[in-house]
Amino acid sequence: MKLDQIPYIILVIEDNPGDYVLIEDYLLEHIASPEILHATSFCEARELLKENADRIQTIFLDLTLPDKSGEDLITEVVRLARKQPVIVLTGYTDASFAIKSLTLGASDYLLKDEMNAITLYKSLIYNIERKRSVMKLQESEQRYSDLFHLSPQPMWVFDTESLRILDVNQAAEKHYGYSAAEFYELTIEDIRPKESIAELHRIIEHNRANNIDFSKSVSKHIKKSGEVITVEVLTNKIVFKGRPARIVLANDITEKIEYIKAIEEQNKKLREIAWVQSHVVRAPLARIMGLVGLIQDEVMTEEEQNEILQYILTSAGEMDNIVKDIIDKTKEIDFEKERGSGINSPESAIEVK
Amino acid sequence: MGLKTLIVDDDHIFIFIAKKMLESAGFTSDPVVFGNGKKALQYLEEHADDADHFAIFLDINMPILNGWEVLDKLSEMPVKERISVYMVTSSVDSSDKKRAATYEVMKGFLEKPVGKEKYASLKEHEALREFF
Repeated sequence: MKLDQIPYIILVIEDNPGDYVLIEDYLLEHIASPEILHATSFCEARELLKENADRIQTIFLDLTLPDKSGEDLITEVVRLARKQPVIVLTGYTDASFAIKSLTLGASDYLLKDEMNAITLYKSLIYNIERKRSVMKLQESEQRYSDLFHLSPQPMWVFDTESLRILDVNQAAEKHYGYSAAEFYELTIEDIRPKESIAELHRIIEHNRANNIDFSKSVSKHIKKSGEVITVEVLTNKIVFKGRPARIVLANDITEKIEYIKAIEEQNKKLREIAWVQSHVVRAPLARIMGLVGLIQDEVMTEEEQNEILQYILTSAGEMDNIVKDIIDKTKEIDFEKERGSGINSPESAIEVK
Repeated sequence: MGLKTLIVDDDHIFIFIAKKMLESAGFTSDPVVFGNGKKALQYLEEHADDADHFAIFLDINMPILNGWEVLDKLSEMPVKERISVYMVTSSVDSSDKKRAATYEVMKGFLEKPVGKEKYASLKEHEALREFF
């Protein structure tokens, strides 16, 4: 049979010299040049694991060592061996405990009396591969979990039947003022002002009846402090730990709306100014133009001419007042901007909190 | 009998100019002048039979009754058949024009300042031609 050429690095934790030699022999039957590290106690194993944490690919662990044994031993070794599968070696007398070892984090177990070269080799290969996929899966789960928990936008998951909040991210804790533990005691009704709860039920019922996945709405929410905010809510269907749920992304648009209101207010003032300009300013101007036309075209007495000049002066004065009025109105707009009055610049309105 | 001309405007300088221009244009030398719409309507009620036709130069922005309110009332008076209204304003909005089109008595828009030539051209206007 062709030997496996991969230079496996294996830690064998075994205090019985006979058993160790047997394991070594078995390994060499299928692997051309394994690097076998040997520890005869938990302390030794710990040192070897520390020194070779990134190199060791798998660990064979005997369950009875002079300085530690049983459940304690497994737990400790599994804790130290983050990247390696731990394969438990045990005698017949511990068979039932061997099964329990799997729940403690061991990857596999082998009964010493049934062990042979091929079962040892198979277990080695299988568990290295399996550990690798498990770690990949964990990494990917962690990544997705981070996307949720570290998202700068408040997010949570709620049960569509009980309406309880099942999971919540840091941004939601920060923005709404509840700790995660407090959130888990709440339903999504509790983050709504009373008057908008009916609307909430309508939306949920609508989503359920029409089997809607993505849904978007603008709602009022209430923080722990009692502050009511306007949020744009995006939700999507999700199964969370076996429960029918929805994942929610909440975007606080309170400031944005206030900002828009402020802009509309300013636009109104600007429209007023435009109206004044076109109607009011033009009135005295038209009069001056008409009076000048009279002087040009008509034959008049000196008295009449003086009267007209007086009219021109009056009209010019009137126009001057109107222009001053426009300047005052424009200043009013600037003044409000400076004062702030709860209105922020567009930059701060979209700033990520 | 013939044509009677009314100027309805709260701006006495405009009235001063209009009187001069109307005379110079050969339109009329004795217009009847009102500072607000209410007085003009009163006059029309009382003097409906004084003339065959009334030409009214009506300002839009006035106190008491503005130009639009005057038009509303005019449209309900029997004398409306013998009335031609020219809206006079310092600036013409397109929305004003649209609104004006809904009144039968409305015959035209004049933007201030209204020159002699403009008044003269009105003598050729379909509604008034027969009186000159």
